[in-house]
Amino acid sequence: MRATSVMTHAMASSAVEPMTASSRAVSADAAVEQLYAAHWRALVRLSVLLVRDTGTAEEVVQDAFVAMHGRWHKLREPDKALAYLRQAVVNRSRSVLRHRQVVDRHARVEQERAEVTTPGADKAVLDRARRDTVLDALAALPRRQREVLALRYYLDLSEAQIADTLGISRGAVKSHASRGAEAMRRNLGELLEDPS
Amino acid sequence: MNRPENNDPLRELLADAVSDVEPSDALERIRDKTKVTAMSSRRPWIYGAGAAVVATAATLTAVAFAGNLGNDDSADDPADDPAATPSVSQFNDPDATDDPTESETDQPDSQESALPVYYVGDGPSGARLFREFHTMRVPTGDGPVAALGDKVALSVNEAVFGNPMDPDYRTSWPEGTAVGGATYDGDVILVDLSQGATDLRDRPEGMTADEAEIAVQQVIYTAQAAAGDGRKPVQLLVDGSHVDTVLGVPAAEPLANADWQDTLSQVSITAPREGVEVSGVFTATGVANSFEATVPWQVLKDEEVVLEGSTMAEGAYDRLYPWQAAIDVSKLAPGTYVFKASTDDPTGGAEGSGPSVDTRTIVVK
Repeated sequence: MRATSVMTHAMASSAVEPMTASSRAVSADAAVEQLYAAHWRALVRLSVLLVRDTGTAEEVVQDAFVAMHGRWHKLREPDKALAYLRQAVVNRSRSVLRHRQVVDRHARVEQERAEVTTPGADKAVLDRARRDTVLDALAALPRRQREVLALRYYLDLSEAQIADTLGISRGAVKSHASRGAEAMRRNLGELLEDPS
Repeated sequence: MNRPENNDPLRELLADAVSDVEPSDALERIRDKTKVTAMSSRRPWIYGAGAAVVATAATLTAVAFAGNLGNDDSADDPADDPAATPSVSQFNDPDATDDPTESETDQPDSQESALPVYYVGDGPSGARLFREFHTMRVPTGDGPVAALGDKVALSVNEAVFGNPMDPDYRTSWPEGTAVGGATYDGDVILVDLSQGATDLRDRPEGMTADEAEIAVQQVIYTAQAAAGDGRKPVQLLVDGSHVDTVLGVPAAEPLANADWQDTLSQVSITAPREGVEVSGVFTATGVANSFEATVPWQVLKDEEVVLEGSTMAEGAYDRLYPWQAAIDVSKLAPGTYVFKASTDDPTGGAEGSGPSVDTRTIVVK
């Protein structure tokens, strides 16, 4: 083989590790790739529901993947790794929120609301306004309620899965869910009647 | 579980609130941050190539999801071998009535095998590879190692030189291309291509770069499937010599397969084979990666749907999973029909490029 030669397909390197059909052992790299493929977007979106900012959310989820890679030898199974990723995303979203000032959010929302009321406002602006209203309502909730609602309504997790992810009891999940949903319904009354 | 109902407006509002969030690709950054571990777990030959070149390749495939875990791409799962599915015997296919994988024959120096062969067909967003199983006689006289090499050689030869059973498939290799020999030493599959009138090193006139790429992938996937030992790298030779390119595609080093999601058809029919006779209730099998594992199927007569239904694959998203469906054709008039399986497109074509489709001609008795 020549050192200068070109190899275009090198990236599938994780796919060439010696494996047999009986051993389902997956390398940390391959696990990252697999879970990234299946869950990167949804996890970033989950984090956006919690922190509102896409750039921050991307960093949060990226760090969660790096952490998962480091723990792969303990996780070993994609299901466990995914559960770990969710947990890491929620926890990291929480800690960035603590440190981050939500800059100009209200100013921006007010401005967009003003635009909506002007005649001829296009659909994109209306969409943006609706989304911001929902994200605002979420942001206004107590932290636990926000997390429970995001996991329940966005990721579609069961009560037991949410309890595991947040490290709280199922009873607590139930009560956060019902209070959070109630608050959302109160704040989003108009949108809930006509979500279009 | 007490889950909120599917139509709960809160669910819609939350999904909608982040529906415009399209995160940029971060796989490369994650890889960079996890590199130390990555280096130690990768095989050294990967680093034989220039680092700059590897970086370029990384960019090319960064958006592709490397869901291929090497060992369990069910496209080559032995469990999915048509010989292992009882349904095959329901077809009047002389090649499939026995167990073709290991059946002893009256010739002690060879045995018949159903070997996997990939051909090029059309997917919703470009050419994709579809798998067929072709029954061939593999020499066994020289021992198991030689037999494995022979299996690879026969399969790849069938891919580049032979004819697909399904007329929807094709091979783009120049006429006269064949396989001189193949070996597999447990690390690298070596395939020695033999060229006809056309120089195989360069991309022939009239062949697009995409066609050349999928042709090379056709050989890689077929060789890996025939070797049956996961996604091993494939070293291509031309007439016994190392070459820098094959069909213009860099090939000096052993090549890994390209990402399965961008290369393999996301739905493939294993049984029935093209043109077989069916009657009563037959079992269709195949592999798919489809939304929520749903695999819709149809039976068509003159392009009109006469039967339809859907089945579930055993999984979805991270690889191709086996599916099967019982198709009751007992009420159909005898004649020629088309059996069609597809991936599910929840948007009804509104987004993306539509479903992947595979078809078979069947003859109802």
